Amino acid sequence: MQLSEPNIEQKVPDILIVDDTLANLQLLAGMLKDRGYRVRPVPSGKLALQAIQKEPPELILLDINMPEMNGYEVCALLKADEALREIPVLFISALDETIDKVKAFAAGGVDYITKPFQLEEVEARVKTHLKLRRLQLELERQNRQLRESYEKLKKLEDLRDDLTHMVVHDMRSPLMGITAQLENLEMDAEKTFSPDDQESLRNARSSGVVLVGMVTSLLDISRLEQCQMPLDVTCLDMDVLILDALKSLGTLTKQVSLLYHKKNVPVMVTCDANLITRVIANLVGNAIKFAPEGSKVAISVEKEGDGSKFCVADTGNGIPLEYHEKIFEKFGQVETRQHRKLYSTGLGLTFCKLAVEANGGKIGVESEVGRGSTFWFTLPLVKDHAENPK
Amino acid sequence: MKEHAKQKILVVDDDISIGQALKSGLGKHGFTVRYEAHSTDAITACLDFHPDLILLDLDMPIKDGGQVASELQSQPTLQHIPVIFLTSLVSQEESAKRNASGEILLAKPISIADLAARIMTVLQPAPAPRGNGP
Repeated sequence: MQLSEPNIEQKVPDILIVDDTLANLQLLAGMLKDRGYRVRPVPSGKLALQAIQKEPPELILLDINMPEMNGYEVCALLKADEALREIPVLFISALDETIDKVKAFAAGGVDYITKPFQLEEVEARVKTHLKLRRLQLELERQNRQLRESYEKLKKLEDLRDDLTHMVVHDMRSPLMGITAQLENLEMDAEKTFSPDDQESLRNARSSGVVLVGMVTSLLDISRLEQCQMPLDVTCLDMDVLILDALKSLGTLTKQVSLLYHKKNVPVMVTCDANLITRVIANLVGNAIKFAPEGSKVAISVEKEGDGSKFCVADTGNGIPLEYHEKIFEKFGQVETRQHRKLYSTGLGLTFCKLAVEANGGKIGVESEVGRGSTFWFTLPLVKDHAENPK
Repeated sequence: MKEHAKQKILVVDDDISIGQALKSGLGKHGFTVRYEAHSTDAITACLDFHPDLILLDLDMPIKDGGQVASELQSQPTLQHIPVIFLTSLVSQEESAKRNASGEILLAKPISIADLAARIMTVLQPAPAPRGNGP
């Protein structure tokens, strides 16, 4: 998104000069006009304020010693006005004691030029302050734009999430319509269908299962993010969860050489069994999917501190370091360098992260390109579940 | 096919695809199923059909599953019939509320086999033969 035009406004700078001595006014005005500035000379503080109210200048050159209203008074009035206080005020004065200069700066002036002055000096300082002021304005403008962009993006993100949620929610009924009927057909499949048709039916059912998984993932993620997920917390052995997870994967586990050594002592965890079983099934399922055929996938459980750590290691392609956090993000995509194609990590890992965190644990991956990956998560022994999974 | 002494299930869901799927599916699991698409017909259907269990979709228009269940409670001949709620959306609040009052709330999509198993759990032991009231 384009944030701003490349450069500051090219408008001709408008300078107000205030001095009760006409000769000074003419001299300065003449010099500045020659240099291409637009100049408004005024001979008193009162007239200066009127001119400023009518059309605020970009910079003010202000004499100090004036009858009726002196430069400090003019400056004070300007600084008190929110709309005018940012206009740079440069004092020009014959008073050259330090105390006068300090007083000028304290009044809000940004520079102090002593009379008699060199025209070149005045010009140089005017130029500097104009540039400073323009840069400041540009910065403020960009900040405003950034803030607006941010607000807009945030709204879009919320809309996207709401929309996704709504669409997916509406999908659930018709999806059940399909999967339930396929299930019905399968019940009498052997009597009714040829072996080929039975195979078709099995495939259709599989696809249905995948779709249901996606829909469920999306809705669960939505619920976990909004802390709307009811947790059914029990204390049990990790082994039970692992075996349930492997069972749910069914024949998928036959594609690789799956190694799981149960520990001699039970590793107890406190968590929502259903959620964590799904996390394990997700991680192991991924490992199997991305592992070369016939390779090894190793599952292990260790006691870690007060809790436990679950790991699943594969000897697949590995994941580049820059993606180690991204893969857990919603709708994240990872480009595999070797196959040069984009594969969507979908929502499985996002679900795993939210589910693990809702149970008080942490999740991550250790991986190097060409050296496989180890996905892990930890769970505390005692429930210390975050109120807010984020 | 499993034998459940032909227990009777009334299904109430405004989604016809679900209704038909449940009717044929639960039928294959040995139940006798009647399907009503309009929640306003639920009570009449109960009085006529005398189901052993009622499957109620929670998210129906006009009258939702919760309201139907309340109405059932106010009918002396119907208040003992167990109810299982089905819904597309389970919020923590809804789930907690239902669990607290001992009600069963299942999320769609659910497989027919799982649903049948759940129904069996609720119906065992087999209830007394249906008559005109306790």
